[in-house]
Amino acid sequence: MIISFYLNGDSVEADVPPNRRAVDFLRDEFQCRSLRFRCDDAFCGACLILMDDSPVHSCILPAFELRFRNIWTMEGLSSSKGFTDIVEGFKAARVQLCAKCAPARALATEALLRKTVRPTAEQIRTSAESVRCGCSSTARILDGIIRSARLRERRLDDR
Amino acid sequence: MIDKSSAPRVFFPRTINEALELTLSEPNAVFWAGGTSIAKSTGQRRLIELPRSLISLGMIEELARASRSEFNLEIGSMMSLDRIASIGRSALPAALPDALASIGNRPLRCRATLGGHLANSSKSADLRALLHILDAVVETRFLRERKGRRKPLPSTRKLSLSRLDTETGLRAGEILTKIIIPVRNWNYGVYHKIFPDSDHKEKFIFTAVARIEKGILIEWRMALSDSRNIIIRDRELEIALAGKQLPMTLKELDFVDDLVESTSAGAGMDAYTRRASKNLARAFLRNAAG
Amino acid sequence: MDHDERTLSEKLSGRIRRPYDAGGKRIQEGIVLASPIESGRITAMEIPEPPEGLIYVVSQDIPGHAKITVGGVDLPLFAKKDIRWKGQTILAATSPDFDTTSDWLSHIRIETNEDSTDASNENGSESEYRWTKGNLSASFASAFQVVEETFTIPGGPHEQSENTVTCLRDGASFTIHTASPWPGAVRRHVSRTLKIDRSAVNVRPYSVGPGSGAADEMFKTLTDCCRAALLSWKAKKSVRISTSPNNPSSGGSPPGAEFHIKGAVDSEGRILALEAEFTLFAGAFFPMAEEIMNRIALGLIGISPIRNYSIKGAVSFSTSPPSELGPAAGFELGFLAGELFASRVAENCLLSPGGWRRSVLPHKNQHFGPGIPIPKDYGLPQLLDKALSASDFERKNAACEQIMLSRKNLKVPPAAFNGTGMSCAWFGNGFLNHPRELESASLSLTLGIDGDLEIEIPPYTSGGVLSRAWTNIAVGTLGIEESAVKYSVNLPEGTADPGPSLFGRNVSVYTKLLELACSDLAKRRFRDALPISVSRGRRRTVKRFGESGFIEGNFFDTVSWGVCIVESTLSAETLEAMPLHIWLFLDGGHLLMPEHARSAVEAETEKALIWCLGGTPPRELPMIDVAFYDSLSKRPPRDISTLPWLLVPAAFVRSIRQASGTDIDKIPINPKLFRGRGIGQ
Repeated sequence: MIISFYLNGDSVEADVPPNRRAVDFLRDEFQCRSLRFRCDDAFCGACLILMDDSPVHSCILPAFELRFRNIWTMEGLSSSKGFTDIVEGFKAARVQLCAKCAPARALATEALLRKTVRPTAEQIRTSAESVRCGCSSTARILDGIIRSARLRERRLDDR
Repeated sequence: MIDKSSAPRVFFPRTINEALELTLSEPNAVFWAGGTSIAKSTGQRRLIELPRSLISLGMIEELARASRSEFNLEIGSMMSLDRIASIGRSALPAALPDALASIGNRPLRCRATLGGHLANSSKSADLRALLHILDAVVETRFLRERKGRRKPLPSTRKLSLSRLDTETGLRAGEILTKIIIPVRNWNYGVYHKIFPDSDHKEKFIFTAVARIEKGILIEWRMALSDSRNIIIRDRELEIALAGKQLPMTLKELDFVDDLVESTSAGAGMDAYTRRASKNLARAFLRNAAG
Repeated sequence: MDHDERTLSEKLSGRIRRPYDAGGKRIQEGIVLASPIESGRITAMEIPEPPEGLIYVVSQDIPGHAKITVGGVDLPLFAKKDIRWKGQTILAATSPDFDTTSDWLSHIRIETNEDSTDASNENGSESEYRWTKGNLSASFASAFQVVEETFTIPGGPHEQSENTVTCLRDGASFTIHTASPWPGAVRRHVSRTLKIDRSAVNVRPYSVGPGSGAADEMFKTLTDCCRAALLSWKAKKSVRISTSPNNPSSGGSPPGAEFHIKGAVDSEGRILALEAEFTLFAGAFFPMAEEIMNRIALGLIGISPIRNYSIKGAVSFSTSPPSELGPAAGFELGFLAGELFASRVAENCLLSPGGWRRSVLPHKNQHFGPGIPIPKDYGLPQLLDKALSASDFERKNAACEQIMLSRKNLKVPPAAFNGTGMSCAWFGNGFLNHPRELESASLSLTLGIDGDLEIEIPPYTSGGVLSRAWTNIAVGTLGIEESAVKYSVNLPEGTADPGPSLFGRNVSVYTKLLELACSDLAKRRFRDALPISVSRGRRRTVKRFGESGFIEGNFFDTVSWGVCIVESTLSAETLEAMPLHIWLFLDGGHLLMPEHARSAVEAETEKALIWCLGGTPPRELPMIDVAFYDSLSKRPPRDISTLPWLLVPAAFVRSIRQASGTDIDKIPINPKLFRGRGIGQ
């Protein structure tokens, strides 16, 4: 099946079996190495991608679901200006992340900040729960998201 | 090499009628909404095991809209649980935001749709208990044979939630198009989902909504559900308490205890669930008083 | 952008590579065939003709050792005839196409004779352990009261995740890319399995994550590395093996245990004698059994001074995958049971746990436990005082006790009951039983011609946090640029193997070695020609645990101390337990990176709580207050990230016991645990 979609802002097309796992497809064909796989069961969130601005698990996502969608991974998001808000926010909160979950954390935070730069406590907690990993305490991650949101808001206001 | 011959066929209709017509040429096709209950854990395999033929409903715009009138909140079946939650607490019926938040995590809710959730009978009880007490109905579209017509024509019907899993419920080739929730002035609601055991095999749901005016319980509804996915509701208890002044007396609360106990015991609930039902019903009526 | 920010940016952007990123597209995937039965014998195996390009390996094909010997136990790489656990690897195969290999494996027919006999330890090592000292019968005869405690802890905590090993082959050399917490063992076992020289095997270790995550699937990773190397050797290609948690050949869990403790207590609350029996629930194999059993015994005695004891431990084997190390290699089991027993003694003496603890803590020049000398930097009494006053423990404990005792008289039960708990613990890195194959800590520094300083050190840097502190030391001593400090990621040839990270992560020893090496280098840099290499090592001299038959002596180079107070609530409506506030007062010496240490302690505290709750995060987040306390200035830093596993579970369980007014005798804590106990009725 030939599917075309936008990946990190570029229009791409590929011939792929419709039931191929999106995580393998994106890693193998488009070198999206920021996608990790840990649980293979839509639980840990290490394989998160942004699909039309919503975070979704790519480990149980068949490739045909990517058709005509706007897909972002950390390969694309890390080169955007907004990425520094997340880095600085997490650094200020002294969040200690492992290499397995860190890209997914950044992606889940970006998904939230694209929705709102003034998230509610419930939205922040929901965003933190998108990724399950024991490398950092939830309180630190919540703090990191709050600080990232403040930095994003300030940057957008300055523009 | 990946064997392409074993790959499923996927169709992308743009309208409901197109999707229904596809069922004539692909009678074994399965409707694909969010896919969270069809595409399961894959282990080491690179290919997800899927039915041979799929009709993806993701491109049908009319299924992904929500509207609110004076009387009803209508939610398209292809709206994801996350998008429904983003409508906001003030516009959604009481307890529905909490019920939505209790399902999986946000990435899962971004894919799971309300239609898929209700059409999938094994998991549907999570929201069904609440939608049931909110008097929600579902609207479906299907093809119907008509006299004198060679081709069947699309028809619409409305189903109560209790009929959804029965034989008279959703048939093969029938699409769940929208969920209609009557707008009532429920001003207090709770939704609890509890896993009594650590392995999460057992589940207990308690949900209740109430309309309180000037300290009087005008109307209230309560439903219980457990791992068997049955919904337990006691209309006698709901009627008996309507019109009572809040907060209730200890005697009245004891009466609630007795009725909840007999209802939950009659439904075959275990000791923990029966006790939790009583405690939560009491707490609901106590907290409803403000 | 500074160093920390650069590292964080790389992590968040996903630019830090993992073992499955190693190699190019031409790498072959290896798949293992897992046993479908739990225990029995393979009576026949029909292996179809492999398609072109597919190779497979069974036990008979191994040129070297077919078993890896780890912690005194032989773990088979492949089941030969006997199957010991469900999911045991029977065969491994690889071909240029993943699905071809997968289909070929699905056509293998295996006939088995399933047997249901109890699993036994074929390794012949002891499955019963005993520690005794003093006269128990006299103590029990003269006791004012006898206090008993029973507690069951399930296996775990363990969150299985994807585990990938990549073996890159370049001619006769093999480079293993793995996130193993014990890279030294990977090199040793791969060279033994392939029967090649150790110099032909390179290990590229990846970060295993901070804290106790390092212990997860350690033995499973070791065997996977050997299997990937075997496939690579036979196929003459680079091979990657990935296993996901859904895979039947997933690894085992840390062991659980059941404790029965009986103590003879005098009228002042002092424990005169302790009699304990415990059964440890292990998998089909139990590597490092002696080490873990000793740690459990040591944890049981904990910090209470006990002169007479009789501890009996037995291992119960099962048909589960081989046991892995727990987050504190047995201390998390021993301290939980020991501290719960201590709280019960206090309750039975009608004393608050804080007051009782203060009265029985040994003082300087005394011994704690049965005969362990108190170190010079012993600051536990002060730590305890600070914890008790900061958390207002005594008042809260008395209030919760009052409500617990009078709850039967309440006409309207409250929505929730509260409880408090406290615990004390100590922790030291290093081995109690020094395995022969393990050596002591060492590192080397090389100052190159270009002015770069290369530090070769085992990769136990907790995601780069310690390396940051060590960089500061090097920069400060040698006056070089921060960017000139490089860490060698390859395990250097000739470097001593300090064992798995949990035992070898001896911060104070490595920091001291680095300081010595840096000052030596500073002296030589203007005297000798570049490049200059300096190595520093330290061999352990402490005596082997139990050599005298008693639990006596100094077992660890340095010890960190901690006190924990937990305040919890139990919903009377749903019987859900929830921690509200946790205070941790820790003495880890002069910490190199206090803020990073605080973050690591918070993360481990949360994991320990989730373990107690059976894997479910609490509905609401508790407040976690971490305070560091350095009783003496300029003391070397110690590992404190493991302490929450020893402290938090015991204090949390005790707080729930008080809140519920019931003697819950096991974890995980869930609503069903309180069924039939009359709470909230």
